[in-house]
Amino acid sequence: MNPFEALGGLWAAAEGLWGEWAYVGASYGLGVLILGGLIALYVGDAWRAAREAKRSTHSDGS
Amino acid sequence: MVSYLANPERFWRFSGPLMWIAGVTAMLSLIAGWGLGLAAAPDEAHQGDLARIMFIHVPSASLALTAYLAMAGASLFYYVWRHSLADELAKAMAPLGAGAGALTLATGMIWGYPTWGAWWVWDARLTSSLVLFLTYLGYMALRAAIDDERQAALAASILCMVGAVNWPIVKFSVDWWWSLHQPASNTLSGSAMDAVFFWPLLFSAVAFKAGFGALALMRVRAAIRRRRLARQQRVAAPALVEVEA
Repeated sequence: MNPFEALGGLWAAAEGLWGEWAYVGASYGLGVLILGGLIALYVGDAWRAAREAKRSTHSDGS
Repeated sequence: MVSYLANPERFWRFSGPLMWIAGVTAMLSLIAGWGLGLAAAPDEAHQGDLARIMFIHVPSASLALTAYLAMAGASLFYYVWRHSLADELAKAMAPLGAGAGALTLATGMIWGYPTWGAWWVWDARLTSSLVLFLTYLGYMALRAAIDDERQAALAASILCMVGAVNWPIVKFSVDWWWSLHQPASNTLSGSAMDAVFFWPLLFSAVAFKAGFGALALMRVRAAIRRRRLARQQRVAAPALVEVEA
């Protein structure tokens, strides 16, 4: 069984178990992954910039 | 207003509170929108529970379009006035627009398979949305491919403005051509939706737009911080050389 067949089997099982909610769950699950990833990326970048600025201020002795 | 905010110090002071207001609005609206959409809204008469995908698909699609419009505006501003803040703003918006575009395509496919019987069709709306997503990726790839920051900004701003040609095609494709994709249910002249679906959708759309604004401002503020730091280091460097000498 190739990975696509395995994925298809998994999807069929999820659909059998939860019906339409499998599609709803997959949509929102992807949404949380993508939006969460973007939030982590941006917040992480802002945090790093703030830390660099703080470190520079301390090294100046100011 | 635009010229007032073109000053980085004024932009810094203005954007701080705005970023927090937008962030909190996004969180509260998302809780309301997804909470109402997933728990309180009833099954739709024809689509059943699948209609709940609308509360993530439509806000993402709307955001992918809005973000591109904002990016094209910032790119035009950069192209005309060469203002680095405009470029930083466009650069900050690109990954968010690409994320929204990816989510639009993915959730559309997940909804399309049980509804249309196909994950994908080469329909005008779907195809132009795919082109929009690829334009976002192209914008980011172009920036990453050019080492010189000014050249990268200029090339990316031109690409973004050229790519804006696709914007009305995405928006009006369902009106201009026969499309499997349904036309807009909510327009400036009113809504064809029942209130139980309209309000969760509105809250979700507000959440996505406000979150986009908060994150874009957050990244521009980080860029301003880094530029300040670089400037301080440039100023401090000759002084250090003098001390060492």
